Amino acid sequence: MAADAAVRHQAEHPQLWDPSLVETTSVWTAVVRTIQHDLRAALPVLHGHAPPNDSFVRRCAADAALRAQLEALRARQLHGLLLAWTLDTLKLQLREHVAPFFWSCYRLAPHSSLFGAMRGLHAYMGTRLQLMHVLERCLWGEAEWTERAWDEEPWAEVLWGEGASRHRAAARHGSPMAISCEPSPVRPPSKSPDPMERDEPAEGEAAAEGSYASYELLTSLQAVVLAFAPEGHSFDAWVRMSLPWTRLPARGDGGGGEGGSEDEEEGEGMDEDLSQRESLRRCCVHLSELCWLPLIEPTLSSTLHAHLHAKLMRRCANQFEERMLQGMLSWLDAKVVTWLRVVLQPAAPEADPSFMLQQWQARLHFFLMQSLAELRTAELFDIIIDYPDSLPALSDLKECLQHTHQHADVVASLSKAIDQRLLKPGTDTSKIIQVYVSAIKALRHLDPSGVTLESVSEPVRTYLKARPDTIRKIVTSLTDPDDSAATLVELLEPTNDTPGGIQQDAALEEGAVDPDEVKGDEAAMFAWVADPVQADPMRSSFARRSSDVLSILVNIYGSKTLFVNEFRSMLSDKLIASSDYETDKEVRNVELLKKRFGDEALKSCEVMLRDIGESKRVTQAIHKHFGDEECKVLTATIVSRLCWPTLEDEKFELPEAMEREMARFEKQFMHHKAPRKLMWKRSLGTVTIDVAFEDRTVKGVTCSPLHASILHCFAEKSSWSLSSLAAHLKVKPDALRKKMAMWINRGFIHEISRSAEDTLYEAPACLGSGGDARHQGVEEEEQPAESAKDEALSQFEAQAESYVIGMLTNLGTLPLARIHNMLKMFLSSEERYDYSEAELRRFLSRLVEDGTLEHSDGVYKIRREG
Amino acid sequence: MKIEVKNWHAVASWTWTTEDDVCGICHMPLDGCAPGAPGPGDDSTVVWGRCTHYFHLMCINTWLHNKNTCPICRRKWEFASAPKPAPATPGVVRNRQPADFPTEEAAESPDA
Ligand SMILES: [Zn+2]
Ligand SMILES: [Zn+2]
Repeated sequence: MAADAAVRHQAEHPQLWDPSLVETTSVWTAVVRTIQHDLRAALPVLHGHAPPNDSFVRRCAADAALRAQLEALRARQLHGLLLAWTLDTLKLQLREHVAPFFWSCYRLAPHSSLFGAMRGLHAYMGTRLQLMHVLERCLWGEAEWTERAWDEEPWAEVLWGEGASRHRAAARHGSPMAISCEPSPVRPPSKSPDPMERDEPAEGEAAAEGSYASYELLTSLQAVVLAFAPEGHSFDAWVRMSLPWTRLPARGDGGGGEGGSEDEEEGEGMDEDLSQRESLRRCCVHLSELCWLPLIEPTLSSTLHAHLHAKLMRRCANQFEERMLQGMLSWLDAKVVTWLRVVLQPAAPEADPSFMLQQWQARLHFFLMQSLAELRTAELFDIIIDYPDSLPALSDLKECLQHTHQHADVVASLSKAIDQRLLKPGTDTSKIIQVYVSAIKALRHLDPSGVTLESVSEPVRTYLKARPDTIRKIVTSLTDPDDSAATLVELLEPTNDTPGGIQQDAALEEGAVDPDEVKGDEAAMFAWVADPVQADPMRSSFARRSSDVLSILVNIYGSKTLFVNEFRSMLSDKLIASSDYETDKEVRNVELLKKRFGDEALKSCEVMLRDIGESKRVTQAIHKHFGDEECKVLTATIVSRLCWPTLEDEKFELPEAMEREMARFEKQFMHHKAPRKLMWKRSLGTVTIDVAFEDRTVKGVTCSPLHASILHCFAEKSSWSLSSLAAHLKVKPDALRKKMAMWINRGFIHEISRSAEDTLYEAPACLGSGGDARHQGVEEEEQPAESAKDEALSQFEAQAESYVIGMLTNLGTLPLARIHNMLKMFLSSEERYDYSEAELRRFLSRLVEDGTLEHSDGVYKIRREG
Repeated sequence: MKIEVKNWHAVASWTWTTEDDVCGICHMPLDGCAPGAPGPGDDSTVVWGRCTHYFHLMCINTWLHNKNTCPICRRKWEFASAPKPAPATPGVVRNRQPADFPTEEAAESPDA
């Protein structure tokens, strides 16, 4: 020890020791010994023991001699040295005892020991800060100290943050300790052995008085303790596993055993009982007094975020039919923020929220809105599909976006979802249209500026444009409420919420001036809102904001002309295929479309409908003129050809009697409507026949004129070769073979033999007992208007047939499922094989019927000749 | 097998019995609409002059406001009645089984 060495030195070299040096040395030695004793005696405070009665602070107050010794050191300018020595020794103690103590708590019980450890640390540090404080004050002299203004300390604000004012006020009034060097104002923390039960050091006391030394001490404590964390562990992790907020959030997700009741869920750790909350508050007081709150903020933040996020997912995911945002924000304020008050201002949780707390609250609000926006953005495709039931979810998203401005994310995410889930070859066109219409409406609601809609629309429009049946599907859904996309029907009706729909269409169509610019309407001027910066400057905001849904659809094609033409061709198909002159529904549709597209655009459609009415009148007049029953078999649709789409006709030989009937109809027409004449389209129209066999009669079979003519030939002569029949009917054999398929399929005609040169057909005398449905032909209606489609279909069937034959030739026998799978594999890429197994069975049974295949024991094989 | 046709619904188009199919005044197809007419056919009637030229009624009417001559041959315009063929004979004697399609030999017999 230094003091012993000094005594020895004095004895050996008395001449070197003048009396004042000797006195100084002994005073120094006495003071240092007292402090050393105090340092040792303070360590048990860590473990919950009371500070010793003979602490330096108490002795200072009680022992005038000690005060005199301190005064003596100060007089000799040794006070700086003493402070520095004390501080260094204290730091050593922090490293050697305090930090190990702290982390030994963690090692023993990581989940439950944080409160105790913090309590010990706080109590210990209270005594140390007091020691430094008293020492400092005694050494600097009271007067000198009190004149030092807190505010002048450059670190006061940094260290204490908004708490500094409190300390400043305390300093200004002078705390009792500051004046009198009274013994520890930290109430002796030792009344009970359990640290959790003990009183807290009252707020502000331990770390109350700022000084260089206490600042230095607090900083070292943090640095030393944190550096001492065991390998692979951290204070953050300890905090995370110790504080009660972590016990209840997301972690419970996996179990789901909470019963999920809302009340239970609301508990979620924010509502622990009072004693739990009080112990949390105390722990936070420790943290706060040691200036450790900033340390836990990142953990606090990430844990709360995880908690909020988990809650959000539980409450809101896939729940589109209810507004969630306000409820979640109220819950946040009522539960989380209230809880946070205890943590962040533990000294006065009921006081007005501190600035820091207000910031926290604002951040959490923002985080919640951001998370909800992200959730809804990810769900937007489903929300659109559920529109309008999902309006509440859209309104939430809209409100969130007003704060978080994540519009770009919405566009990116929705575009991706559309690309992945909608624009697929397997998706039905009407489904795409339906979703697009919902998207238009939903995004209008979400972003009235129209920018979001515009950004996600383009790929959909391009894709729809490339699909051959888009216009047809739009028209079908517009005019046929029975059809799938019933949502479109309403679009035809003039809507009140899109004022001036018709004129506006017209304006868009003609590329007319932006009405915004024309009408000097004052209200409109004031209602003007700037376009968002993402807006495409090439498009007027008027077009973006207000073109109605139908215009948007129609404009996929750039003009309404294509659209109307497609409608016309569909109308034509429908009118030509029907034979009852019924047009009520079509008249209604044309009237609806006229409202949207104008009379002029639908003029030819009107002519077409008038043609039907006129045809009926003419037919009746001609029937009346002839006055016999036979003439009534022939009815006609007589078209004004220039107003109709081109009607394809194929030449072939009609049954002679029919030819005669048509001739006299034509002659009477020329008289009746002179000077006009008729030009028959022999292949068009619909024939209804009864087919009689010896065993039974199939009534009301409808078919095309050519099909009827074929059957007529077989009625005349029961057996025909393909070539002779083709010659008789004056059609090409290939085309004829395809037409034969329908009658063969119905069992009215049998294929007797097939060779490379020719095929032989025969009409059976008896129909036999094949499936009635098949004979009625309900599932195989062949529309003349769809001849092109038929063609494609039979081409596909021909290809499928060759695959099946190839397969069976190579593999012998195969069951239905195998054939199905192999066709899927081979044909799907090029030909779009989309048969169901049932359809395939029907197709194969046709092959069995015409003698190509055999079917027995559930397997198919090639039929061997003989 | 026998078949009985219950209804044969045929499709035809009509045309004016003219050699040219374009109106000499408006140069639009005679089978189409005259300019301003609501439709073709009865709404865009074709008329003949004594000079055998023919036009949309609306077109020649407009023309006659200024001149009284045929726009093509410059002769004085006088309306002529359009050619009107005789009516078909009602009650035509038909086959023994009129409504049926003739089977076998019946198909060969003439109809008048
Ligand atoms: Zn004309
Ligand atoms: Zn003339």
